[in-house]
Amino acid sequence: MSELTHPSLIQGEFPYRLRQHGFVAELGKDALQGMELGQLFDKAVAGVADIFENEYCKVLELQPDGKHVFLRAGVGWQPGLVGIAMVDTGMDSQAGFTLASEHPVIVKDLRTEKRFNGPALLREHGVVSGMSVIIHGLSGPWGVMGTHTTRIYEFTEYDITFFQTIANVLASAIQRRKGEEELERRVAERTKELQLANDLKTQFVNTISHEVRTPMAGVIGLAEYLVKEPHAEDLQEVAQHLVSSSKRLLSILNDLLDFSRLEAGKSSVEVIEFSLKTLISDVVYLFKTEAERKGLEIKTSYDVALESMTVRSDEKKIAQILTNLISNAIKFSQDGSVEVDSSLVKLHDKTFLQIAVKDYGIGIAADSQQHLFKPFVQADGSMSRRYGGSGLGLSISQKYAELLGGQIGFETKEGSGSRFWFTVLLEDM
Amino acid sequence: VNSKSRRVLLVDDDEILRFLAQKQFKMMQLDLDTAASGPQGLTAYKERNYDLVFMDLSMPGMSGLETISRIREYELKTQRKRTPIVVTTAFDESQNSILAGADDFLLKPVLFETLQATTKKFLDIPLT
Repeated sequence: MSELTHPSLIQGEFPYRLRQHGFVAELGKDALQGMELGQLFDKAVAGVADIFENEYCKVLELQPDGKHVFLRAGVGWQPGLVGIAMVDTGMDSQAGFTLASEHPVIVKDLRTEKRFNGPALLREHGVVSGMSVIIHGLSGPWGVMGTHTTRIYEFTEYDITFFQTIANVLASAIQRRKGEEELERRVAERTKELQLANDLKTQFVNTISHEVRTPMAGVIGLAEYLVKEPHAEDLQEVAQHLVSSSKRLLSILNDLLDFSRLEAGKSSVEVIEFSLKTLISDVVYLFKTEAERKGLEIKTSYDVALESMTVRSDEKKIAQILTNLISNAIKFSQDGSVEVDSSLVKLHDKTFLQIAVKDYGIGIAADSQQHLFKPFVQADGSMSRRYGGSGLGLSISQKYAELLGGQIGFETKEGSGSRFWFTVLLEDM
Repeated sequence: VNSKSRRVLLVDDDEILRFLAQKQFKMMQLDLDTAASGPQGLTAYKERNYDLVFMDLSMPGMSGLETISRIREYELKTQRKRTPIVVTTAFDESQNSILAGADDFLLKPVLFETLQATTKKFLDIPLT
């Protein structure tokens, strides 16, 4: 085995070091200009092998398991290895030894090497001399860079510094790329969030526009009729329909305002003392005509204690939740009854009021149940807006129940009906 | 043309809008039948020969688009004369409506003048 004369002896010490410096500068520039990593690795291994006049040079990437390194780039190796070969990082390999020692490792003659048992990859290629340095990562080594020759070769201190500098340039480029990837990931994530928010806003506007148009058609059309036929005999009925269309518009507007106030976190709780029985009969009375028209009976029942007692909570919000639940129960029922049951529930020394609204209507299909409390989803779980309403009722009700220290929930069976319930924390009397 | 002999069908699940349509067609001196759902509309359609149909799209159960498709199928099967169908709905679904076999599309609210003009166009009544 011949000894390779160090290239600096032929090229002259100074010009040779200048060549090394020149290559470091060039590779650094490429890295800064964002050269693709694979290309940068290829350029680094080719340049190093050329400058050292070594037959082999490689970049090994440490795998997440910590037990293998992957041959990312290299020159001189047999075909079918670069980009494919996976090598053990056991302590018997030069790469494994380098990773563990954390310093550049110089091998003068692999055949007489005692620190490790030269790995098959190097042996098969007849490697004798070589040097390995670590490519540092943010936490621990990213991988190893190695240069090898089949002849006896003496690496100088300068060579070690040069090689480690090349590895450091690669380490910086890798870190930079990882930072960019992280940034790209965050930008993509944020873009997706914004897109979702924007889609929701578009949907919001579409839904509201749709829901406003039906009662608006009633208001405009009936008013036009009054103008054209001021002496018609059914003016009373026309005026009544005008009022109910206007009320529907108002209720959509109120839902919108409530929803936006809740979204902005500006909904406040107003606790007063009130009779629950009076509140429930007031709300039920509002639905009397609508229920009768559909042939439905609204039944109410109470815990004995609730019959006469007054409670302390936000009366308006409870009334609104109840209104939403009864309205849905009627909307999605064809016959039978709607049952409103009120009870007191004690939990961990606290007293909750629970109101449940049960119907025998169409129920909700299993796959539609999870989205019920999201805005714009209708109580049959669809988004198709086949039933009127702002699509915000359940969403608002859920937020109100939570605001009042309680919860909202439901049990349902498709075709048999639904039971929606909510609880609110009662303030001490 | 004797407008009295023309018959129009309106399908809409909204009670007030059916009431309003009765008033509007009375002002046009045309006979109007109304139906509150797709199936009801389909039944009415099969029972009588209509010269024009107004169809809402968003309805519980059978949608307006589905009802239109059924009407078109029925016409093919029975070799009945093709009846003009005008979609009136609160969403701009003109594309889908035409694809499903509708002849025209009106976005709610439909002003009386528009309703009158559309009706006259399809019933071939001169605009006066």
